Amino acid sequence: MTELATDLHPNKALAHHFTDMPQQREAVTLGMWLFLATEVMLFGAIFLAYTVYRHQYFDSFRAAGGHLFVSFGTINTCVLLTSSLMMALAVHAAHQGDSKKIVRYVLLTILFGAIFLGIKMTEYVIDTREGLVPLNGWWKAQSPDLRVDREMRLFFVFYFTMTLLHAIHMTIGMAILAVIAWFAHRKRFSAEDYNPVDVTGLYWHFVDIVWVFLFPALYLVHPEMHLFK
Amino acid sequence: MSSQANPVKVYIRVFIALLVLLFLTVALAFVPTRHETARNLLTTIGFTIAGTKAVLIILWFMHVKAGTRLTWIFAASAFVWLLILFALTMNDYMTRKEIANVYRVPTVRAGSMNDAR
Repeated sequence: MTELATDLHPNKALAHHFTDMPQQREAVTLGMWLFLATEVMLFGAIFLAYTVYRHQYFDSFRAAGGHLFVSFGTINTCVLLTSSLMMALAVHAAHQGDSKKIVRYVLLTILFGAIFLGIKMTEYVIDTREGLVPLNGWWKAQSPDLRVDREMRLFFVFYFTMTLLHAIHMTIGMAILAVIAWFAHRKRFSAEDYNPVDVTGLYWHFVDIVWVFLFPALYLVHPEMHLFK
Repeated sequence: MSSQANPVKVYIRVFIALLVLLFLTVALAFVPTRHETARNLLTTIGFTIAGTKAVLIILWFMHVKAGTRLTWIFAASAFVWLLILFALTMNDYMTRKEIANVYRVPTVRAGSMNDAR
C-alpha cells in the first residue's frame, strides 16, 4: 500500500490526498483566503464600530484625530508598502526556486516590518507623554467639556485597540517570516514546492491592507491641526 | 500555476502607484476647507483611494488577478459580507434623525444609554 502511494506520488512535496501540485497549491491558497476572510470580519467589526461612533461624535473625533502625527503615519505607510514589495519579490523568487533570493527578500521584509514597529513604539511613547492613553492615570483631559472629553477618549480607545491589534498581527507575521527564511536557507523550497512562502505572503499583504485603511481612518481625520495650531 | 508570478517590473509599477496614491490622500487631507460638504467629500475620496490601494495589493501582490475563479470568489466574498454589514448598520444610524423627526420621538445617540451624568 505504501509502495503504491509512493509510486503514484513520486513528488515528496505532494500530500497523498491531492492529485497534483497545482491542485494542492489551489487548496492551500483557498485555505489561506478563508482564514483572511475571518480576519476581514475581525477587523471589519472594529472598523464598523469606529464608523458608527465617528458618525455620532463627529466633531470630537475630529478634534481627537488632530492629536496624531500625520508625519509618523505617512512614513510608516511608506515603510509598510515597501515591506510588502519585498514580500512580493520574495514570493517571486520562490516561484523561480531561488533560495538565496528568498532569504534576502524575506529578511528585508522583516527589516521593514521592524522599522515600522520601531516608529510605532516611538509614537506610543509620545502619545503616552501627551497623556493620550485612555486609561485612568494616563489620560489627560483634552477638553473642559466633560462630554467632548469622553468622546475624544473613545477615539483613542479605537486608536490603541486597532493599532495594537495590527502590531500583534505584524509581530506574528515576522515570526513566521523568520521561520520561512530559515527553511529557505536550509533549501526546503523549490520551484515546484513553495506554498509556505506564497501563503505567508498573502498574510503579510493582508496586514498591509489593514494599515492602508487604518491610516486615513485615524491619521487623516484632522491633519491640518498640527500645522495651524 | 507558476505562470502566476508577474515579472518584477509589474511589482515595481504597482508599488509606485501605491506610493503616488498615498501622497495623493495625504495632500487631499490637507486641503483647507471649513465647508461641511467639501470635508465629507474629501473623506469619501480618501477612503476610495484606500480601497483602490487595497484592490491593487489584492490583484497583483496577492496574485488574485492570475488566480482561479474559486480564488476570486473566496477573496471577494469576505468583502461582500463586510459591505452588507456596513450598509445595513449605517443605514440605521444615518437615518435615525429623519425617523425621529417623522415620529416626533427624541433622537437616540449611540452610547446614550451610558450618558447618565
